[in-house]
Order: sequence, then structure tokens, then C-alpha cells
Amino acid sequence: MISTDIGVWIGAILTIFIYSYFITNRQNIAFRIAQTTVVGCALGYIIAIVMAKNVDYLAIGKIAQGNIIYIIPLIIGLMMYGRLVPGYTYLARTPIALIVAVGLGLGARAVFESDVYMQILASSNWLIVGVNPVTAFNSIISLIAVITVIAYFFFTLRPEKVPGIKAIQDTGRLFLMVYFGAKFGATIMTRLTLFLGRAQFLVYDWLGF
Amino acid sequence: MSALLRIDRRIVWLIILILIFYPLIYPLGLPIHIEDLTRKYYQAIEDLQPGSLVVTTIDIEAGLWGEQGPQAIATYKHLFDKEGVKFIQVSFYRADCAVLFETMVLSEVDRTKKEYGVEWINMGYLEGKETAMSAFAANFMYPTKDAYGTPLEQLPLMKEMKSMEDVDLFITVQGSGYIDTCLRQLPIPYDIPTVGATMSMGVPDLLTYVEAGMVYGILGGLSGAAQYEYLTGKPGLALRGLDSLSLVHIFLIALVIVINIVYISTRSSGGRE
Repeated sequence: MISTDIGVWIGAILTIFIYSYFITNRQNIAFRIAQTTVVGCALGYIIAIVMAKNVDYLAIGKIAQGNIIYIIPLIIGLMMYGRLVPGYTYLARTPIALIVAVGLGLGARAVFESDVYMQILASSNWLIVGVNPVTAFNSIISLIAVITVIAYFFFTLRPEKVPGIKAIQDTGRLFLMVYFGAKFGATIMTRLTLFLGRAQFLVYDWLGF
Repeated sequence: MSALLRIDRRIVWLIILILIFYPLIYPLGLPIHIEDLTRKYYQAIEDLQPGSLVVTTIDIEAGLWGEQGPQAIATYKHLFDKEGVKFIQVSFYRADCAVLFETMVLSEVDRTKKEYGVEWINMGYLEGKETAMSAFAANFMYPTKDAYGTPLEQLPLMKEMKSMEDVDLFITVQGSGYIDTCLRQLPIPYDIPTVGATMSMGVPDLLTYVEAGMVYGILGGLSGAAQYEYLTGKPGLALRGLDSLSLVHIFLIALVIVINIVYISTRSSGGRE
């Protein structure tokens, strides 16, 4: 039985508006109405949440509790708006520098373990002897892939100067293509699933099948 | 045959439309294969003992609901069913992640199975991305209030869960954008066992962490969610949508093969390139 919920109807109409792109094969008025509605709602909501969470909970709320020190981040945050005032744009440099520095520091601290050290360890773990044939085969493939892909990115190793390097680099490129192919295939799978999600909404929630 | 190369793309879209909608109305019940990584994801939650402490992040944007919504619903249904397991839920990616959790996930689980504040807490969305993740991991009191504005010191669970050091399992339901950031700030520095659910296109990235031993189990896309629903015995949107997805995949694979054959044969006969 078709839904009587006004929210479901709005969702269904906006969904059909968005997919009207497929019929006209280009942007149309219905598509743009839906697009701007989504962007407007999302932006308004995010501003409200950020103001409530950051400014109220983390700044004004704490200052009201007597933690005067929190007035410093509040002022630094306000300095960001200097970008909007001609002649005072330099004020924004301090908060931007802080954001970049803190982000870089936090990222650099953790990225070495998760994305460098542990990945190198995993890439070096080639179990060939004493394991089942599938694991051994995978280890050999992994070993070849790691070496050839690294060789592909050694641009200083010129094929005319280093004999045999072109074959190794070409093999590395093959492995990269396999990765990109897998990624592309998975991307198509994701896009189809997103459409499936809207189809399920239309069929189950709106039309009531 | 070369006419196939000039086919109106809307015909392909129409066929996809039929292949998606038909099984939704008339399910086919195609067989399902349970992958090893899905089983590990399920087992990590299933093996949690009463008193276990878990942190979950739901960081999926509204646009990804079709693929990741079923993953999130199945995961939280499973968590709410596990007696004595306590968890804190938090979102870092975007504000709509917390809205999705509140409106689309919690509406699907039986909330009466766990007492709020004692067995689970919803922190809502924390702005600040990597900075917020790092601050939260070190001190769960950092947000000061939960998603509903209750001061955290009033919630009994906060006495048991103070930082990531107290956590037994970390579960993340993520799009592909923030997996690496989330992993490197929350579970990895504290050596916490981790399982992750992600969209299909995020699986190749997450697999590198599986190979490195930092993530144990994965739910990959809708098919992962369907397998998980099958394991938990609670069929949902994923299992109902899998027939459509399988049919479209078969169609697309056939299309790629046929078009390539036509293209190669046309080119070799000196036709349109």
C-alpha cells in the first residue's frame, strides 16, 4: 500500500527529480531543484551542529563553567573571520597555521606506524616454506608485486642504462593496473548499490511492496 | 554489429532499471556465499563476553546509505542483542553521520535491550576530524556532553570507559574517505582489535590493513552486509537487494565482454575505432 507519510513522499519526489537526469540526459529544472534542496539543507544543518557542538559545548559552555582559558581558542577561531574583512586578512594566518601544524603533527605521529612500519612488515612477510600451496603462491605473487611496483617508481633507473629494468617496470605497471581495475570494478559496484538503495526506498517505503 | 557501439546509453539504463526493480518486487532467492572476512567480522562481535567494552564509529554519509545502511543496521542489531556488552558510539566524518545513526539505525534496533548511559552512550558528531579523533581516543570525556546534551559525568558508563586503553573491540562503519585516519588515531596506537565495514570501493584500501594484521574482519559493501545478515539470522535490506545486484553485475559483465568483442572485430575489419 502506498505510503501516506509526507516525508516519504518528499523523499520519493526528490529521488525521481534527481533521476530525471537520465531521461533528459542533461541537467533540468527538476534535477536542479532537488540538488539545491539537498545542498541547502545539508549546509544549514552542518552549521547548526558545528555551532552547537564546538562553540557551545567546547568553548562558551566551558567558559561559563569558569574555565577562562577556553577564551583563547574562541578568539583564535574568531580570527579566522579576518579573511572576510579587507585589511585584516592577515589575522586568519594564525588559526590556519595552527590547524595545519596540529593536523600534520598528529598525522605524522600515527601514520608512521599504521601506514609505513606495519605495511612494510606485512609486505616483508613472505611465507613460502611450511605453509599450504595457496599461501605460498600468494606470497610469491606478493613478493614479485612489491619489488616490481617499487621498481616502476624508480624513475632514475632508465631502461637504456639498466639492462632488464624495463621488463621489471612493465610487470610493476601490470600489477598497478590490476589494482586500479579492482578499484574501478568496486566503484561501479558501489554506484549500483547506491541506486539500489533508492530503488528499495521507492519500492518498499513509498509504494509499499 | 557495429551499431552496438552507437547504442543510446538510455537503453542500457532502462535494462539496469528493470534488472534492479524486478527482483525487489519478485525475489529470486539466488544463493549466497559467506566470505572468510565477513565471518571474522561476525565472530569478533559474537565472541564478546558480558562486560566487554566497545567503541563504534558510524561515519557514513547520507548518500552512501544504500550500500552502508544495511551494514550499520545489522551491526548495531547484533551489538544490542549481545547481553552485557557495553559500547560508546561516535561519529567524526560529517554531521549527517550522526543524523543517520539517530534516525535510520536506532529506529531499526530494539533499544529496550540496553539501558542508555549504563550500557551504551551516543556521543553524536564530533567536529575536528583527526584532531577530534586523537583527543577522544585519549580522553572519552573530551566532548563534555553526549548527543542529547547530557553532561558525560552523569552517565555511569563513563566511569568504566575513560579512554581507548579500556576498550576490547573497535568497530568502524566507514565510507572510504576516512578509514586510514580513523584507524591510525583510534585503535592502532592503543593496539585494540578492530573490525571494519566499508563500501565496496573501500575494500581494496582496507585489505592492506588486514594483511598487516591491524584489522581482523571486513564487511565489504552490500554483499558483505547480506552475508552478515545471513550469519546473524536477521534478514534485512541487504539480503533483499542482493538479487538485483547480482543480476545487474551479470548484465554488466556480459555487456563489457560483448562490446569489447564487437569493438575489436570492428577495428580489425577497418571499421570505426
